Amino acid sequence: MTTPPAADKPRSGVAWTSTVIAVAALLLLLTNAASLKGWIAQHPPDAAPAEARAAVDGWWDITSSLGLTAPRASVERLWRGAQALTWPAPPSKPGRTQR
Amino acid sequence: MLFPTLVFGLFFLVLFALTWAVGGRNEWRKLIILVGSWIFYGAWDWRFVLLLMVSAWLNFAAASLIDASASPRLRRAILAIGVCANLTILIMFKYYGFFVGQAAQALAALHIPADLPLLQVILPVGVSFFTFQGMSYLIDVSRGRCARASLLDVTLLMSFFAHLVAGPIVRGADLIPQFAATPRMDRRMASEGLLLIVWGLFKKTVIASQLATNLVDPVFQDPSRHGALELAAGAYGYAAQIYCDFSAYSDMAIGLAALLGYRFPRNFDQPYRAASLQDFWRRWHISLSSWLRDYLYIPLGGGRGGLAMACRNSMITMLIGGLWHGASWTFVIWGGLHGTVLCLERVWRAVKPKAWPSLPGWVGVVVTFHIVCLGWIFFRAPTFADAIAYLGGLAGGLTAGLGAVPLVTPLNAALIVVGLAIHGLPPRLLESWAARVRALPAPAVGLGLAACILLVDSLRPDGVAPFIYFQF
Repeated sequence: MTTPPAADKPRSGVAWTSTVIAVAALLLLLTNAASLKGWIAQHPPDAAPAEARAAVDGWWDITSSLGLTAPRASVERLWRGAQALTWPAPPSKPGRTQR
Repeated sequence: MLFPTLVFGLFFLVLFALTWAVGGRNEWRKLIILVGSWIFYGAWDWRFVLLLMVSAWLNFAAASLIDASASPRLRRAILAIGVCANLTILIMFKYYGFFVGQAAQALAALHIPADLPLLQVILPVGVSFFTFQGMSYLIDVSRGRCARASLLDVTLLMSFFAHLVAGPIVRGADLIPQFAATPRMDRRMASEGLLLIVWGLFKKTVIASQLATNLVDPVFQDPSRHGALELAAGAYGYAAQIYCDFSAYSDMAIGLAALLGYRFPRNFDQPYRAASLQDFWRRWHISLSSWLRDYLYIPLGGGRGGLAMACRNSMITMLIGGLWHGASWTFVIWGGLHGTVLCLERVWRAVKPKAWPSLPGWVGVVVTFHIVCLGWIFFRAPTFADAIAYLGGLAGGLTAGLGAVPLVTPLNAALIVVGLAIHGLPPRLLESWAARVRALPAPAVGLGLAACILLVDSLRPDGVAPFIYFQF
């Protein structure tokens, strides 16, 4: 009889998944403060207390000053560039003068 | 509460922690998921939760009576009452206005004065899904395919947040046996679940949202303002959008359930690879098509009774399948189109001389895809007249010139290609990736997961539109 590898033990599955989720959540908290900022901005002023807004803004300032928000900002810039792309205009026919 | 939102992410984190924290106490874990599901559903409207409870308890009572009854006639009678009760909920909330409106129009056309009672009924999210689920549970209990379940299990079967609002339609026979034992999760299940969630997020928030906002919605809103090329791109774009939207929901639902230890059936299998419409319905919204096959087409007689009967049964099934999607003639026409082509395929298979060579597979794929796209125009257009205007613009534009194409940007074109090229990937690719991921250490997978979510979140537009199938 063979014992299942550690990767297939049921309890190890829960522990492994919990660690994955915890690491991902922590990294997203550090690098994705813009998402928090966007989320709180969607709420009307009476739905999100001023303290919560201030805390989110403060967190964004901290992570931004550490350069942690730079990867997201770079991707957003690239994506906006891709959205703005247009097909090249067809060449004007010879013999026609452009006004 | 939509899946691809921060609020849902926090909600799921709490639920995940609570369900696994209770360990082997299975009843507690099911109660936690049930209460979580009601909170999830109540985020739309708390009255919907009451309807869901009534519906679940009604099905529990009917199934208990069926199970306790020794007389086959009595069992059939209780089953009929239970199915009618589910249909009454569906008709009252979803079709009442449509049928009364149609009746009023018909009477007015005949110059018969009538003052029919019109009601403003709110459509509860996912009502078509949970009523179909309730009916299948009752039928399965009466046929002996599924054991009668406890009140908690039936209520959770119908309320489980992962499939509640847009499927897959998970049958009692699939889920109730899973409720009996405390779920276990291994790394394979977890890695498949995580990959499905990330893949679903990408398809919904990047491909479907971008195409919907910047191409499909403007083109379908006023087809007369667009040239043939934009209309064609709009139709292809909608084919990519609806696949990426609906399959994304199913992927995320299956992934979320997997992280809680439950297995849901596959709902999509690269549908645009289909070489016939029959093949398409084995790949698209599999939980609905198999439901219609098992509880409608086969009881009607299925393929028994000759070609004419088989065609009749296919047509009835597809028309009802169309109407299931919404109370509108456009959905009936969509179902009718699919039913007609299914009948033609069936007739062709019956009359085609054996000596004739078969068409290459890719021809079947291209033809099937374009029939499906034609159907999507009726499915997406707000009214029948709008669909005809769209088709008119497409046909007329091709003769008059293609027109300017400001909406067909390189990005939109690329996303259509990506949305359709997904169907060219090797089947079961995600499972093979999951097998690699599960062998990695958890911090490395967490890093990769965070990077993927950050990437997707950077590309998504502000806010998330509801999933297309929420309206059904």
